Amino acid sequence: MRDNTSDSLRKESLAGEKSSSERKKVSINRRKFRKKIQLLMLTSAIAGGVITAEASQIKDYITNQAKVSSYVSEIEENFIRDNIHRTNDNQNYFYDYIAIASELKNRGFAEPEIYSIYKILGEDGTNNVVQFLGEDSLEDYIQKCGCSSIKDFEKMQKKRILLQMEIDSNENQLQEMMSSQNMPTVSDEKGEKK
Amino acid sequence: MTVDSFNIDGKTYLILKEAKIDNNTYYYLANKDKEDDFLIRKLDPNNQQLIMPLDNEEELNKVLLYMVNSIIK
Repeated sequence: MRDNTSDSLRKESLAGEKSSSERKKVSINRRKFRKKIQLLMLTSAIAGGVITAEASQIKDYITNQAKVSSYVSEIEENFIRDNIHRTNDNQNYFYDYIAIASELKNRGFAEPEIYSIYKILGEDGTNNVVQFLGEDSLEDYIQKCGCSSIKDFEKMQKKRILLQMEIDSNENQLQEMMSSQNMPTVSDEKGEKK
Repeated sequence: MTVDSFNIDGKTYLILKEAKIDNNTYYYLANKDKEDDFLIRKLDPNNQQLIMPLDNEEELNKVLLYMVNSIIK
């Protein structure tokens, strides 16, 4: 099926007539959109006849993107979803930036959470949130984090999220291993009560 | 979320990626209603109101390679 998709991409990209470049906005589920982008990447790689080493890099990239996306989705679930409200005429919706900032303050947050908020709300929305968190602007916040641009900030946070996931996964494996061997767990060693 | 789209042959194609390569603007598109229907179009250099298929295999390979490189980098 994947090969057919890339054959079709090659064929359809060279076929057909000219058509209008007029754009229309359409609604789509965020996850469905991400899935289409990931599939396009794979399809392009296959249609472009890339060598195995590159294909492996693409696979890693897609896997990492999926991991970061799952982290962002979790933040969306925890901080954003309950703070989206319908307008009075029921035709549109808006974000309660004060409530989002307040949740972040209460639960504690770090740069990866702000990165996730940026991926969900975009620049203007995140600018509002960080201002309610006491920062001058998103740009100032990014500079305080030691980044020169939003691109740098995104790159750094993606790495941080992936590293944190790896650490969490290793810690879980270690805990499971210690439990299965009846060894004291990390929390036991720290003197924490079970 | 909302995304820009083009209407091609009565079907809605979402713009997944836009790229400027060698003074041409290319669009990587996906059929909104079909999972495995992708295609690439470019802005007509002589008429910005139109999008058109790519000229030949050579141009297609260049645009596909650009996509692959942009993923790897």
